[in-house]
Amino acid sequence: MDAGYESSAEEVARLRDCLNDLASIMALPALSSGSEPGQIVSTLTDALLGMLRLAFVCVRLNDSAGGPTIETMRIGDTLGGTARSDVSFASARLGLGGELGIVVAGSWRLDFPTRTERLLLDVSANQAAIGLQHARLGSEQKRIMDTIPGLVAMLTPAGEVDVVNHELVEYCGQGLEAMKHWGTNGTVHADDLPRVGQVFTQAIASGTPYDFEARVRRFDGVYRWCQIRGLPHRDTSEHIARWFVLLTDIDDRKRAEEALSRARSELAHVSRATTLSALTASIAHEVNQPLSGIITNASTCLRMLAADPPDIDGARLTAKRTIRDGNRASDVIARLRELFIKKEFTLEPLDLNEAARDVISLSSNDLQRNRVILQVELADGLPFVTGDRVQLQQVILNLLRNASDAMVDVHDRPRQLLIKTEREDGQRVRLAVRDAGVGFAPRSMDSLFDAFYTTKSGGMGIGLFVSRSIIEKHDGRLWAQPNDGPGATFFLSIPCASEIVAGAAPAVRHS
Amino acid sequence: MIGARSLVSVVDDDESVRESLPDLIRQFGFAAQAFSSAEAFLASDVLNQTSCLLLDIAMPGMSGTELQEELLRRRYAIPIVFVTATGDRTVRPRVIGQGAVECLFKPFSETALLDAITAALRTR
Repeated sequence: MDAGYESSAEEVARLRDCLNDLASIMALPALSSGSEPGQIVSTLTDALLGMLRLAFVCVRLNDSAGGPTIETMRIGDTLGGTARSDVSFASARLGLGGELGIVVAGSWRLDFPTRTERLLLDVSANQAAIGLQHARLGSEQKRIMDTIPGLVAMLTPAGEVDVVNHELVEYCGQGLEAMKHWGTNGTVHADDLPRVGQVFTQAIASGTPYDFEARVRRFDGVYRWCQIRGLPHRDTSEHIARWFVLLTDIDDRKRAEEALSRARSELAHVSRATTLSALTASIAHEVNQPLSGIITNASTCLRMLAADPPDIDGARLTAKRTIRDGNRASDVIARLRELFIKKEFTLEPLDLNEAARDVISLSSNDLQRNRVILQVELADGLPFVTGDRVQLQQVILNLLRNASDAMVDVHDRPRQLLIKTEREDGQRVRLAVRDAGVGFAPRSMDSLFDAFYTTKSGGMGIGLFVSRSIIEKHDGRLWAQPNDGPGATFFLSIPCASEIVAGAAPAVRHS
Repeated sequence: MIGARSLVSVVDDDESVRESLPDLIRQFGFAAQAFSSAEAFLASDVLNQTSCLLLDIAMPGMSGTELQEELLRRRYAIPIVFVTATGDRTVRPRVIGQGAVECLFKPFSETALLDAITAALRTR
C-alpha cells in the first residue's frame, strides 16, 4: 500500500473528491425511486464511467418475473489510443445476494480499484439496487393492479394520480399521463366535478376513506355513473403513503334501480289511482243519483205544500220518495264502506260470487256507457275461497275494465262480455272473464302480465301485472287465452277455503 | 212566464228521475213528459211540441249526446238541458260547445233547474 507515503494535502484532496462523489451519487434522483430500471442502469453507468474514469462498465439485470435478463455495456473514452491488453476488474452485486444483478467495472489502471474507488462502486451499486428494488416493487404493484378485475388507481398522498391499472386505461380510453389531468380534461362530468373535488380535498385533509358516486367518461365519450371508493394506505409511521381508489361502473344498476323505483311508485299510484278513479266515478254516479232525487222531491214537496190549497196527497207522496232516495244513498255508502274499510291484506273465507257481484254492480254504469252487454253466469253452491276481499275485487274490476276497453273499437259485432264462476277440480274455484274485443296475438301471451305491457293507447300496462301479483299472493293463478272467435278470456283460479260452501256455512259477513 | 204550458220532456234511464223531475216541472207551471230512453223519445209524437228537453248523458243504447246529434240531423231545434250524475266537469264545455243550453250536474237545486229551463225556452 502506498497510502502511507502520500502527503496529507493529497490525502485531504482525495478525501474531499471522494466525499463529493459520494454526495453526488446520493443525490442522483434516478437512483432513488420511481424510475424505470433502464433509467437507473443508465444513470449508474454514466456516474461510474465519469467518477472512476473506467475503460468500460457492464451491468446485468435479472428480471424478477422470470423474464429475460438485460445486459448493458458502456465503454469509456479513456482508451486514448494506448493499446493495452491488461485490464483490472472490480465487480459489485446489485442487491444483498446479487439477486438483482451485477455490475462489472474495468479500468486500464493496474491499481484499480483503490479503496476509494471500491467504496464509490459499492455505494453506487447499493443506491442503484435500492432504486431497482423500488422499481421492481412498483412494477409488481402495477402487475397486481393489472390483474385486479376492476378499475383501480393509486394516488399520491396529495391526491395526484400515480398509477392506473390496465382496465382503467381501457375503460377511460386514456393513459396515465392524460389521467393525471382528470380534474380539467372532462374525465369527470362537469356537474359532478365540484362535488368530487370537495370529497377529495376533505379526504386528503382528514385521511378518511371515501365512497361516492359520480359520472365518469368512458372511452366512447359516454358519461356513466361510477361508484368511487378510496382507501388510504399508511406506512409504518402511520403516514399516508398512497391512496387506493376503486371505481365501479354502476350505470346499469343505477338505471335499473331508477326504473324499479319508477315502477314501484307507478304501481303504488296505479293500484290507488286507476282502481280508485274508476271506483270514484262510479261512487259519484251512484251517490249523486239518489241525492238528486232527494232534492227534487223535497223541492216538489215544498211547492205542493205552499200551493193554495196545499196538495197534501202530492206532498205526502213526494216526501215518501225523498225517504226512499235517502235510503238508496245510504245503501250505496254502506256498500262502499265494505269495499274500502279493509286496508291491510287480510285473508278471510269469502264467497267469490258475492265479491264479483259487488264489482259488477259498481262497474255496470261504465259497462253500460261502453255499450257492453254483460252476461253473468255465477255457479250455484260455489265453495268459499280464502282471500282478501278488496284485493280480489280489484282484480275482478281490472279484468272487467280491460275486457270493456278491449271492445271500445268493436262496431261490427255485439260487445259481449261474460263473467263466469265455476268449481274446478282439486278444491279450486275459477273465475273467467271473456270478451269479444281485439284479443291478443298468441306470441304476446307471455308479455301480457309484464309491467308496462299494454295494447291500450292510454293505458300504462300495469293492471294485469298488479293483478297477477295479487292472485299469486292467494296461491292462485291468473292467465289468458285467445278465444276461438274474436277476443280473449282471462282466468283466475284460487284455492277453496277448507270445506265451507256458500249458503251452507253460517254467514261470515252480512250483506 | 214564457208559454205557461210549454212542454218539457225528460229523457232519463233512471226511474226515480222520471218519477220526480216531471212533478217538479209541473210545479213550475210547465207540462212535462218522461221517456226512459232516447229511442223512446224519438219514436214519440211530442218532438214537435217539446219546448225544452232535459236529457241524461249516459244511457244504455243511444246516449244523450247521440240523441242531440240525431235531433240536429233531423233538423229539430229543441233546446237541450243536459242532466248528468257524472262528476266529470269537462263534459259541460263540450256539450255546450255542441249547442246545449246548459249542463246540470246532479244533484242540482230547483233554482238551477228553473233557470236552465227558462233559458232554454227563451232561445225559441
